[in-house]
Amino acid sequence: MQDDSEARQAVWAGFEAEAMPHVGSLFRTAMWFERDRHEAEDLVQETLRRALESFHRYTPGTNCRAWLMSILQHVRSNRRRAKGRSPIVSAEAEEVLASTVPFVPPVPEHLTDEELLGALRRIPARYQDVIVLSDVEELSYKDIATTLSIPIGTVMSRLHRGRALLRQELTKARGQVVSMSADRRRG
Amino acid sequence: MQCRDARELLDSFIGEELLVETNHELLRHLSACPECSAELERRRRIRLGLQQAFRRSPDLQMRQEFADELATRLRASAQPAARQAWQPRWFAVAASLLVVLGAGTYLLRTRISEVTRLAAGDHQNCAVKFALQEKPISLKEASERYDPAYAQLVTTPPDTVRTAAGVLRVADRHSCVFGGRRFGHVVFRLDDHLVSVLMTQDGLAGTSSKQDVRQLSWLPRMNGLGMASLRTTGHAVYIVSDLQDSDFRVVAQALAQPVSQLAALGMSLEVGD
Repeated sequence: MQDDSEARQAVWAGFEAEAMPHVGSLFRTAMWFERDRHEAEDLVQETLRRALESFHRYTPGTNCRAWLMSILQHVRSNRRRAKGRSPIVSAEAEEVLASTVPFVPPVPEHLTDEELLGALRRIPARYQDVIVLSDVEELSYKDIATTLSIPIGTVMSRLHRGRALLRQELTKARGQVVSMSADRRRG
Repeated sequence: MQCRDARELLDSFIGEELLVETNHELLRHLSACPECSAELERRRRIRLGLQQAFRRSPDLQMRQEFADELATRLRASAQPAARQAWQPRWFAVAASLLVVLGAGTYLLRTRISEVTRLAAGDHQNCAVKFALQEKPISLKEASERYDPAYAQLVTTPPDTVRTAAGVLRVADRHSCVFGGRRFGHVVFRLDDHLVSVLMTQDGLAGTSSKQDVRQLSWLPRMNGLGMASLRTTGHAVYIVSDLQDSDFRVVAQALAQPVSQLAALGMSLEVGD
């Protein structure tokens, strides 16, 4: 029978193989959300500490990155609550934003990293969250719903609206006429 | 299907979220509609652009010192001496007992990462069965559209690799997608066997020291396939084959030498971006 030390080393080996390859993307996501390196490092460290503690609950062969992202979101929510900050999901009515996205403008052919990240940063945080998890981290709708604790239908509607807003911002970034949307709406 | 309906589905199509029937219906529409095909490409470009911007933005990258410190702390916390800092001793003892009882196959399975499974699946479905849903593209195209590192596989490993188990001769070089993951893929033949070298992006950035880059890791056999891997900051390279263990080890080590040079290049490419 393995002794305690060997068993723990084996747990670490499993964790290292499954979870550690995702640390880079976990950090980038944390950094995007927190916008503060110290906070992001703290968040990632706490996330991995909890993940290692509860690694026995992880089902091998499932999406480990999605599992880690859901822990990261959970830790982040708890911290914001403890610090008395507003919840991650604001109470802003989605319908209001929906009415501002009547037209998806054509996007410029060549976009720089700065233009893309700048445009993403300018759309409301709730849309940033789903776009980062879906388009950057490539989580499924179902995994995003679990990670953010929202219904899958809300994930889909936020993605739809968020991508349209992102494209509007990308067009604005190139000085193209966004008022086309208003014209189209009137037409 | 009308263009309006198709455009509603394009993002879900890219995210592989559509039902099979809807997928086929959309593909039929795309094959006959250049406007919607162009729109699909525009959306793919934004998605890919965002992924690359995240990977390249210096502001979003992890400090190497933090990565090293984090790995050290986590590793230490998994050892008995360090556990008291994080959890009560009685809990640790109970957890250890459970771990010991449940170890065996469970622990073996946990070592098999998701990416490793996909690499094995790509070897089976691409090199062996030619059964991929998406047609492979050239490494040149993949390097331009997805990741410059794929271009390195155009010449590495060389077309012929001599080993004690026989001479490996290249059969194909391309980029393909399996299970939503893109690989740069070099297929070798050795008698009646196929050997795959598969490179893919991996979120390891900052978690490996430079010393680890050239180290070949032996992975548990999966579905009868021998598996070995090399990792860099940003990419993983897998060697996969149905060769018997002794021959597989010889072949993997022979391929590891040029591949490790490629891995080091891949790391400098990413840092250089």
